[in-house]
Amino acid sequence: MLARDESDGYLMPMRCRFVYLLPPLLALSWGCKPEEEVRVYQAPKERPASPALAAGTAPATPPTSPAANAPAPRPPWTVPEGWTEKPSTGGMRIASYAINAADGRSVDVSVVPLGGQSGSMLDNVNRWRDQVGLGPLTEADLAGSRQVVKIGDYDGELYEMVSDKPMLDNKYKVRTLAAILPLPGTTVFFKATGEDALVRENADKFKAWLESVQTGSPAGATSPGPAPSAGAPGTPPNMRGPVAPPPSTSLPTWEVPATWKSVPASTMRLASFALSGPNNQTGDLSVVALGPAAGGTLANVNRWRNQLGLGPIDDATLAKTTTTTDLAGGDKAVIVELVGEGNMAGKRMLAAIVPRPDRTWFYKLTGDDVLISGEKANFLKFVQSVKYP
Amino acid sequence: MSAVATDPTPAARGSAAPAPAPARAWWQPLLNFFSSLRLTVVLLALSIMVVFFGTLAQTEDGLYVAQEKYFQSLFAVWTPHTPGWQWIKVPLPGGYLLGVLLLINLLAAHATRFKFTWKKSGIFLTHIGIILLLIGQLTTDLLSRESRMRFAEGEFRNYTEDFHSTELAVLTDTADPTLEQAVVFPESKLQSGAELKHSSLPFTLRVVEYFPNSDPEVLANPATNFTSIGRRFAFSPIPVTRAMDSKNVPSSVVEAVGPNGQVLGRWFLSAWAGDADMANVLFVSWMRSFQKQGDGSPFVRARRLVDDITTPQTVEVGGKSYSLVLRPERYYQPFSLDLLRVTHEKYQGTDTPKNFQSRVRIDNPSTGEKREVDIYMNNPLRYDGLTFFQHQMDSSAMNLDGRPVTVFQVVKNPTWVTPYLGTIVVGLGLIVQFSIHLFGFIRKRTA
Repeated sequence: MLARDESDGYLMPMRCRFVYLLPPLLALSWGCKPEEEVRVYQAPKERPASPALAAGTAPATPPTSPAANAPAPRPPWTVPEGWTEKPSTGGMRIASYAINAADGRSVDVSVVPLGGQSGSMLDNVNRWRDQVGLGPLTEADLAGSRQVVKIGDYDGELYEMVSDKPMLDNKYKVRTLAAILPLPGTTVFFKATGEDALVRENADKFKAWLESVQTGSPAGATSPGPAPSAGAPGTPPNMRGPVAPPPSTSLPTWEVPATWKSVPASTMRLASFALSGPNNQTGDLSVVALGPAAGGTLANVNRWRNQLGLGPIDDATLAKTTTTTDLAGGDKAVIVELVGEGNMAGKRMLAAIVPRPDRTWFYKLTGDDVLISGEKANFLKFVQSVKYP
Repeated sequence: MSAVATDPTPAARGSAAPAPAPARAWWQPLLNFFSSLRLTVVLLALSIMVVFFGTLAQTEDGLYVAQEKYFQSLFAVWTPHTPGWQWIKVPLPGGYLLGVLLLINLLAAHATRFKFTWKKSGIFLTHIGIILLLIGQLTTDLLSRESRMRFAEGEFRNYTEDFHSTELAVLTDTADPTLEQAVVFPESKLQSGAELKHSSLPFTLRVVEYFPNSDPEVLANPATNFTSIGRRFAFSPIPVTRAMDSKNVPSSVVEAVGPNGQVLGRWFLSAWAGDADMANVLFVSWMRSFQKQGDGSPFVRARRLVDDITTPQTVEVGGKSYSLVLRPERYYQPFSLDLLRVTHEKYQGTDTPKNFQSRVRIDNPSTGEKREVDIYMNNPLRYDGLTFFQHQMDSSAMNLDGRPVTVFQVVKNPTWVTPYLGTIVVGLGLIVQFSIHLFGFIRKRTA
C-alpha cells in the first residue's frame, strides 16, 4: 500500500510493525484508574438526616409496597365539584387539584404532609405571606388572623392572605387559603392559592372539603399496625395509629408526687413521668389525649388487657371491674387496674380514662407489679388533682 | 505495501554522486507512522464507529455508563443486547485512545511535514484550535467532576454530594463538640467479603454483602440476627439501573469485628436511610400505601417508619460510639453556602417554571469573604473553581420541616475555558484560510 503527495508529504507509508504498541496500550488501560483511598477528615457535625421531601431522582424501582403497582388510592375526602385532580408530580404533595375559570384564571389546591416540627405557625404563615408579597406578622398579630376550621374530626387553623397588588400577569391579585392539621409526628397543610376572586368563590367549597377529610377514628392504639411490606401486600392495618389533639390543646393542671420524675414527652405523649423503686423496679406514666370517641373505653381496656396477656372482656364485666373517681375540675375518670399474666406476669397497669366533650384523656401507669401497687395511692391522688382549663 | 523514499527533498535528489544514506534513527519509522495522514483517516473512521456504537449502547446502558464505557476508556467491546445476537462482539478503540492518537498524529505531522508559510497560516491556526479542543476535552474528562448541593432555606452546606457514587462513613466524636471525625471507605472497597480497616478504628468492618441497588422491605417478624434497623427492615438486591431518570440505591450487610476477633454485631446499612432523598421517597411511598389501605393516620405511620429507618446505627467499642452510614460520596469545600431564600415562580395557571432562584451567602473563613449572590437559570455562581447551576426545578421541593429546598448542580472543571478558546481559534483559522483563498482568487481575476 503506497500513497504519497510529493508537494506537501501529506500521505506517508504505513507499516504494520507497530503492532508492538498494542501491549503497552492495553497495559495502560488496566492501570488507568487510580486506586481510591480511604479518607479521614474532620467535618462539622450535622443534625440527623431529615428526609428532604421533593421530587428528586426516582429510585431504580419504587420501594416495594402494596401501592407501588396499584392504582391511585381513593382520597380520604370528598372532592368538590369543579375541582380537577392534577397528576402526581412525584413530589411530596399527596394530592393536587386545579380550579380553572373559563377566562384562564386558576387556583392550585394542594395537600402536603410535613414533619412534626414543621416550623412554628408564625414561620409558616409568614412564609405564605411572603409568597403573596406581604410583610411578616408578629406573634401578637397572628392570633388575630387565625380562624378555627373543622378538618375532619379535628379543629384546625385557617389563615387567609391576599396580595396588596396584582401579581398574576400584573392583572390579578393572589389569595391564599391555608389550613393546618397538626398530628403527632406530622402536620398536614391544605392550601388553595391562585387568583383572588376565584379563591373567594371557592372558599366555601374549600371549607366543606376540609370537613370531609377522614382523619380516622382514633382507637388509641399505641403499637404500630402492620407496615406496608412485600410480605403483607394489601393487609389492612388492624390497628390505627393514635391521633393526638392539635398542639394548641392546653394541658390540665395537676399535682405530681415528689418521687415521680418528669421526662421529655415523646411524639404521642403530652406528658411523661418515670418512676423507680428498689431492685431496679421501674414504672412509666403517660398522658395521651385522643379524639372525643377514642375507640370507646371497652376497646381500649381490651387492648391493654391483651398487652398484659389477659383475655378480652365484655361491657358487663367492664362495669364490674372498673371504678370511677372525681377530678378536681369536676370531670369524672374511669379507673382500670390490670395485673399481667403469662409472659407479662409481674407487671401491673393503672389507668384513668377521662372522657371530655372535645377529647378523651388517658393517664396510664405501667411497670413492675410491686412498685405500681405501692404507687396506687399516689396515682389516684395525681388523677384526682387534674383540673382542665 | 511497498517501500518509499523517505527523503524527497530536491537537494537529495539533485546530487550527482549521492552520499551513502545515513543510518536511519530508530525513532524515524515511529515518527513516520504517527505523522501519516493515513493514520488520521483511520482514526477519524474509527471515531465515527465509536460514536455510532456508543450512541447505540446508550439505549440499553444509559448515558452515564455508555459514556464511561465507550468514550472515557482506551478500549471497548460492543455487544448487542438483543437475545440471540449476543455472540456478536465488536472491538473498538475507546475515546481516550482515539483522542490521544489524533493529538499525537497532529503534533507529529506538524513536527515533520508541515512548514509554516503565510499561505497556510489559516490551516495552522485551525490545527492549533483542534489541538486545544482535543486537550480541553481530555482534561475536562480527567479533571472535571459533577456533584450536587441540596439544602433547605436556613441551612448551610460546606460539601457537595456525588450523583452516582456511594461511601461508607464511620463517624465519631472529637474533642471539639462541633466536629466529628469521618473515616470514609470508597464504594470501590465495598465488595462482598472485603475487610475494611483503618488505624483510627478499634474494629474491622467485614462486608458480608454489598448490593449496588436494593429495594427496602418492612419485616413482618423482627430479624433477631441484626442490630438496629436491620431487625425491622431488610434490603434485597435488585438489578442495577442505567436509566437516566432513576438511581441505584445501594445497601450492605456489615459485621464489626473487635480486636480479639469477636463479632460486635451485624448491621444492614442502606442509602435508603443514609441519603435524605431516598428517605423522602420512602415516606411518600409508605404514606400512599397506608392511605390505600384505608389507614386513618397514613402520615403519622409513614413518618414513624421513616424515623425508624433513619435511626443512627452505632458500634460501641471501648466506651466510644461510632456511627455507620452508607451515603452519597461527599466532597468538602473550604467555604460554605448559606441558603437564604428560595423563589419558585410558575406561569399563571400552568406548572411551567417561570423563575427559580436561590439567594445564598458565601462564607469563606480563609479569605474572610462574606457576600450574598443570586443563582438562577443561566446565571450560575462561579466560585473557587466550582460552578453552581440552579438544578432542581420543583416548587413542591421542601424538607420535612416545610422549608423549601434547592438543589445546585456543582461542576468542577479547571479547564472549562479551553473548548471556548479552541473553537474561537478554529473559527479564526478558517476565516483566515478562506480569506487568503478568496483574495488570491480575486487578485487572479483582476490581474
